[in-house]
Amino acid sequence: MEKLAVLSRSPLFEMLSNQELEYVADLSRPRKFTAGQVVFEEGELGDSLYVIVSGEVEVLRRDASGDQQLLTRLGPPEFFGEMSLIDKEYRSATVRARVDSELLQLTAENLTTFRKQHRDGFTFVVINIARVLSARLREANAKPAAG
Amino acid sequence: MRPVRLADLRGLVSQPDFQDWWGQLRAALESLAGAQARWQKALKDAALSELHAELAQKDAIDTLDRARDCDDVAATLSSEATDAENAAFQLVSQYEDVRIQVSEVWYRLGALEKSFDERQEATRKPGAGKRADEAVRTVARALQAAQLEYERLNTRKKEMWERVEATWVKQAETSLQMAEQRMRGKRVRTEAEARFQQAEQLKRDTGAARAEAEKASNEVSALRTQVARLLADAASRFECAAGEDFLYFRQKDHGSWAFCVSLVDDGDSYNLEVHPLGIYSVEQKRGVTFLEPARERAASADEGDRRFEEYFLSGRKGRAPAVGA
Repeated sequence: MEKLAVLSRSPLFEMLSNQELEYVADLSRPRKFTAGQVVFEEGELGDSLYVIVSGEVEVLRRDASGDQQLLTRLGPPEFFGEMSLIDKEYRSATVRARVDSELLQLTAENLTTFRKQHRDGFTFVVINIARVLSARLREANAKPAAG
Repeated sequence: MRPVRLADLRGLVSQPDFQDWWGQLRAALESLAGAQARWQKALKDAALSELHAELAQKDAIDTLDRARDCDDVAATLSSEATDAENAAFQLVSQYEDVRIQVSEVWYRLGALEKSFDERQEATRKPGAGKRADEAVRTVARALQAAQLEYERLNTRKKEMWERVEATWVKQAETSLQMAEQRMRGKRVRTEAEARFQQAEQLKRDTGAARAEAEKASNEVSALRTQVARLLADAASRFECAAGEDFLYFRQKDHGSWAFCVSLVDDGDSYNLEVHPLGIYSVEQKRGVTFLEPARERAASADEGDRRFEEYFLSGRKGRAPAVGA
């Protein structure tokens, strides 16, 4: 797996320099999940985010009756798991591999190491997470208006 | 464990002396992995061969028992065939007696018929009187009695012959079955012998597999010793601390930190992907429980505001959502 090529395409690492991307590549750990395997469960404590290298994952959440509802599907080079990393809450959804998938895992501790070495790069990562969250908020706000 | 700067360590790792040592270690580790694989395979082969030998021995014993069963059945059938043969001889003898009786009655019958014809002829002669008629009636009675006797004996003769034939059939069937059982017993006994030979061969194979496992075990021990010697050699030659998976060097100017040089390729066990001869930075207290890619340290790396680490790395304590909420 060419980590650097994957990370450079991810919206999470936009605006990072090559040197910063190389460091993140060294810090990331490749993980493989077979189709149907759960990456993490709703309600778990989480300290990692994941960048999708290949395959596809589905994001699921239990409704009031306890049935799992599909929220969305994600593919390369999208990322997930960042919410628990930032707000330190329990995982808000379950993520499961829909097909055999390869991910890159970055733990909070690894990102802290990144920050120690590349403070500006880390700031961009946080900004990128904020951009994605902001986009989701705008999308959610737009829905009632459209309805 | 001498203190080094990252550039010095990179220089050391690229030196021919280090590369030569690394080549020897890598070759020893590869040989060790191969020997361990051979050892595991030999152990598995020995266990399988032993189990196979036990099963083959049991199978051979079962087969021999089946051969004995066939022999027993053949002996019983042989006895039955002999009984049937004796019974047939006896019946033939009785039949002969009856046949002779039938023949006697047959001749007597013939004589009586002739006498009856003659007596009847006599009654037709002129002057034949009552005595001639009486003589005809007497002969007629005798003839009728002889006919009844003939029919009775002839029926008995036929019945006896049927019994003789039935006994011969039974004897023939029993003899045929006996022969088959004997052949079957012989064949199964040959099978059992082959299986005993197979079991013996498997026992010899087990011994060979055990010897192979012992040899591989000795090889593994020797290679482990060689690896340990190479690691000890590295510790003295390169002035480092040598673990099994990493070589450690103190970081110059950063007393609580160390560099470690990976000797393994491991994508799963550590917080990041570890490559052979990759250089990582670790806190001396935590060691390889948390690895950082080695870089020239930024001036602010160990200093500055700790609020971020305190927030980012302290325990996760959010609310647990109710299931389905």
